[in-house]
Parts: sequence; structure tokens; C-alpha cells
Amino acid sequence: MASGARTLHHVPSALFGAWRSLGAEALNWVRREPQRKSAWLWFLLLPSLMLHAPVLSAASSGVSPPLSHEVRVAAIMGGDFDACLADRNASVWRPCIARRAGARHSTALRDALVAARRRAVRLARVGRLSAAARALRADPPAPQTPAVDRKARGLLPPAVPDLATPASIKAGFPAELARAAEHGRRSAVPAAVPCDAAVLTIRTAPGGSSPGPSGTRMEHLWVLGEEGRDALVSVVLLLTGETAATRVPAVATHALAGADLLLLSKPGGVRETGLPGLRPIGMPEALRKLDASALAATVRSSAADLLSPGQLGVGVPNACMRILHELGARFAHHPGDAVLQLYFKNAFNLVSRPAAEAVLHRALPVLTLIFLWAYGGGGPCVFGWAVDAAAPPPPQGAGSSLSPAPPADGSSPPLPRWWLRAERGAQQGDPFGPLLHAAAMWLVLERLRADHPSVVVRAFQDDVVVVGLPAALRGVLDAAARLAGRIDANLAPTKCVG
Amino acid sequence: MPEDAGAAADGVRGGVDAAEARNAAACATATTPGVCPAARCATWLSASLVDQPSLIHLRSAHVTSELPAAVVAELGLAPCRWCSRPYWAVRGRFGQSSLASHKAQCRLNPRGRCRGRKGAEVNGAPPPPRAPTASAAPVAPSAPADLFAADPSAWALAGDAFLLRVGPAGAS
Repeated sequence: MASGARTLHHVPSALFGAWRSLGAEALNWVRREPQRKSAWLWFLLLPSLMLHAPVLSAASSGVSPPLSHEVRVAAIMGGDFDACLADRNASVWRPCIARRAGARHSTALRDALVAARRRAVRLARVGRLSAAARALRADPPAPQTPAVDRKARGLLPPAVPDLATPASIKAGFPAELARAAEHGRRSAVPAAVPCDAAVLTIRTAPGGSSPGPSGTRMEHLWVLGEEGRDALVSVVLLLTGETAATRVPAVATHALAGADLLLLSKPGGVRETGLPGLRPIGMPEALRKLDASALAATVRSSAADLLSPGQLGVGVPNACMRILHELGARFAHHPGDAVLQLYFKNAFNLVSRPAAEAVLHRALPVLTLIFLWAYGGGGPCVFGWAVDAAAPPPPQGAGSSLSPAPPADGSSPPLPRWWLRAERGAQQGDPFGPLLHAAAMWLVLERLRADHPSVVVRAFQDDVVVVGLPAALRGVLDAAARLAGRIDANLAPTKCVG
Repeated sequence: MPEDAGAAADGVRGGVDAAEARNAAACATATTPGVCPAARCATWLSASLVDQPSLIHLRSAHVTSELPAAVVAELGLAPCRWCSRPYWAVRGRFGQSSLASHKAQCRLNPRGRCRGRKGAEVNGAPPPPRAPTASAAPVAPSAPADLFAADPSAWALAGDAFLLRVGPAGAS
């Protein structure tokens, strides 16, 4: 499924009728028989089989030309799936493919600029103007080299034995967990995601976003007919409910939890290691995004009630502005106060999952099931770029290269991709990730607020500011470093600004 | 609604009465402010349904099938072919209805990207395969007929065999 094949942004006219029929059929099959692995496999395979975009290669590269859309439809409706699979595999870009000659593809820089502009235009067409502006100013992708691969593995480190456990969290933060449980008893969050929330999530999902490993895009799901949309709502509800844990096979939930990983170069150029700073961007499955968004919408206000006023990173509009105004008012009344800004290194990728689970299980039990299937089983996989057969093998650890099975017709399979398991922290790109991180961090913030009542502690996710008398801030810094260690966060005191 | 509860002993007749009552109430709110007439929507519309703010709510929050038929007929709405949202189907003073102008710009319209060119005819069934020409892409080695429509069980069997081949062990 994680073939690396690009899929079309919109369903073309020639594929429209067939996609609506087969998409609805695939979703209905999943809805009817969620316990069937082949139903999930077909649902995840269909978009790339049918909607893959052929790579623009030179005619002399020895590769047979791609199938036209009409021929692709005829093959798949006629049961000749192997022809579509071979065509899809041939459409995966690989380094040995010679690009089409011509002045339009002169330099890599020009390619990157054109790609950024095209992406910006696509986003503007669907009304996402802020995202379009970000696309124009986006950092360039990091070079796809083994050295960058190794550095990326350092950003997503494997689990080690001395990490926080449910027992250590329970022993370390008893008062905070009791408060979370009390919130769960008082909360009016429904026990399951309402149908209306799922419908609204599907309807308002942002267009133009990147597809996940299977290539499914929101635009592909929106064009499904009435029957397909009903089935989609049912499947989203199915994955947010108890069925996901009891009937859906683990291999299917594991596939749905996977994400493609894009590495961008941070501004600042090459560091002393000879490599740029990396900004990992995760691109999960569209269905996973819908599930997490529907759940997040259901619990948002209750989560904001629990986490605020210490943590304003979830469900609080204009949170940064609120923090600024509050700090301004504090300084007006206490001119002798100082500010301490805490810096947590690689916060999202390292934060303790047992800590987040302990809070969310008590305060928002509706999230327990998605937490189980999305982060259980050793953690979700993230897929990097295709690696050449001549490339050196990846280091021993959480991941390796993924070699797809050779096709039955003897055609060339797609190149293997490197992958790894995200065994710690919130998965990049997960809509549920900010809540997971905020829930774990809330334990530390609440303890700081309780132990140091004279200071003001406010946070927007991992950006924590503390305001108080300078004499008190030293103790806060020491306590923050000690408490952060209990949730596997890594406070860097030398980078904290005071 | 209160008048529906226990209105008729006959369940079918009661359902029809309820639908009629909802339609009647919805028509009444077409000219006065009130609750949105869509099923399971409790949004308060401060303007009457014929006014622009209410129409914007209807088309941004609902598809046409969620609205009572009487409201759709009363307001002259029709569903967009692509996104099914309700738009005014009556021609305005510029000679084009809001439905027609929306359909050309609908983000789900697959022909929106090749506007100006002759778009392919889109209908429920897939188009027949194009005859190969010297410049066209090659046809699959053994492109069969439309098995999905002609013999769904044979198509499903072929699909199962394919999934067994390409899937991980035990994916059946």
C-alpha cells in the first residue's frame, strides 16, 4: 500500500464513474465485513491502482508508456488488476528515470519553485489562502541521502527501557490524575462520536492536503456518490467506536495508522554536522485524519475545560493573544516580575504516551480506543523515500527498508522505501497529536502551578512561559527539569530564556 | 414536535402526518425567522429563508436531501450535480442562476480544471475503452469486457485472487 505512487489531485472525467462505483463498493465491503483483511487491503489499494499519476519520463528511457485513463478503467472493471498494478508500479518515481528533455526542466531550484507555486495555486483554488501563502514560503525539502535518513531516525528515537510507564505516571502525579478522573465523571462528552460530527468533519475537511501512504485524498472521497458517502460516514464511525478494537484486524489498523514522512530543511543552512536542521512533516491516511478530527471535534470543549488555564494549546481560540494580554496585565501590577521561557527539546516526538494515555483515559474515555489502535502494537510506521538497491543498509533499530512483493506478471516492483516505527511521542501529522502532547504536558504544568502558587504558568503546547519574582524562577526551572523527566520530556536549561 | 406525539394510532399515517407538519412549519418559516428546517439541525436563522444569510447557511451546512421537499420547492432550490448542496435554480437578473454559476466553480467538479476544452461526458457508467491509435497508449495485454457490470461475482472472484497474490500472507 505504501508504494510511493503519487495520486491525482482530482478524479478525472474518464475515471469518475468507475471511481464512484468501485469506491462505494470498497467502502461498503469494509462496512459490512470490517473483520476481513482483504476488504481493508482493497480499500487501501484502490486509490493508487486507479488514480495514480504517471511519472513524466523521457520516451527513450526504455519504460513502456503509461496506460491511458480509459484503458485503466477498462482493465480494472474487466478484472485485469495486474495490468493496473504494473502500471502503478511503473509510475513510481525512481532516480534512474530520465526526465523529459526540454528547457522547462533546467535546474532543481526551478523545479522546486514551480512545484511550490503550483501547490500554492491548488490551495488557493480550494480557498485555503493561509496554506497557499505558507506553501510559497515553505522550507525546501531536505536532500534524500543516507546521512539525512540517519539524522531523521535520531529525531524519532526508539523506545528504551527506562521510559515512563503507567505505574510511574500513576505514582508521580496522583493528584493530577485524580483531578482528570473527576473531570471525566463531570464531563458531558458523549460515549461515542455522533453521526452529525462525522458528517461535518467529512464535509469541512481541508482540501488540497497531502495524501497518506495509500494515496487517498479528501477530493477522492468527496466525489463519492450518495451511497459511497453514507458508507464513508459509517466507516469513520466504525473506526472511532468499539468495533475498531474488537473486529478490525490489527494489520488493518496498523496500515491505517501509518504515515508518509516528508523532511524539510530548517532555515539557517547547513549546521556543523554538515547537515541542515530537519523539520519532519507527517502525512497520515485520509481516513485516519477524518477519525481523529471527528473525535477531536467531539472532545474539544471538554479538553479545553480540563487543560486550561495552564495549557491553552487545545480548543482555546486566540490562545497566544490571550497569553500576551495576561502577561501584560501581570506586569502592569507587578513591575518587578521576570519571565522565564522553558524550552523542551524535540518535545512532540519524545513526550510520554503512557502519561497522555493516563490523562485521556480518565478525563476523556471516548479517546481510549483510537489511542489503542493508532498508537498500540509498538507504534505507527512512518515511511520515508524510496531507497536505491545500491544504498547502504539502514542502521539496526526500529526500522529498515520495505521491499514490496514482486508482481506476478514479472514487471518491476516499486523501489523499497525506508521506514521506521514512531515508538515515542505524538505521531507527526496526527490531528490527535496536539491533544496527546498537551495532555502529557498538563501533568507537569499542573504540578508546577500547585507547587509554585506565586508564579503564573501558561503554555501553548511546548512553549511554556513562567512569570514571577526572579528569586522564585530558579526553583521553577529546577522543578520543571525534574518533572519533565517523569514524562520523558527533555528540558534544555541552557536554551531556556529568562 | 408536540402535535406529532400520539397523533395517530397508525404508525404509517403518523409518519406521513409528521412529515406534512414539518413541511408546513418549514414553509411558514420561509418568510419569517426560525429554526433551520433541515432534519436534526437546531440552528436559529435570524432572517427568513428567502434571505441571503439563511440561504448561505443552508448551502454551507446541508445537502439538498436533508431539507424538506416543500422548502426546496418553495425556495426554488436544486442540488448541485457534484456536491449536492442546495442552490437557487431560478435565473437572476444577469441571466444565470446561482446553481449554474456554482456548478462551474464547484470544487468537486472534475471538469473545472479543463474548462474551455471539450470536457468528456461524465455519467454513472465508465466510458468504453478508446480504440488504440499509433499515438495512443497501449492497451492492456488482454483488456476484457466490463466484468464488474456483466458478472459481479466473477469480478469479485478475480479481485479476491488478486488480493491473495499481492497482499500479505493470510490477508484473505
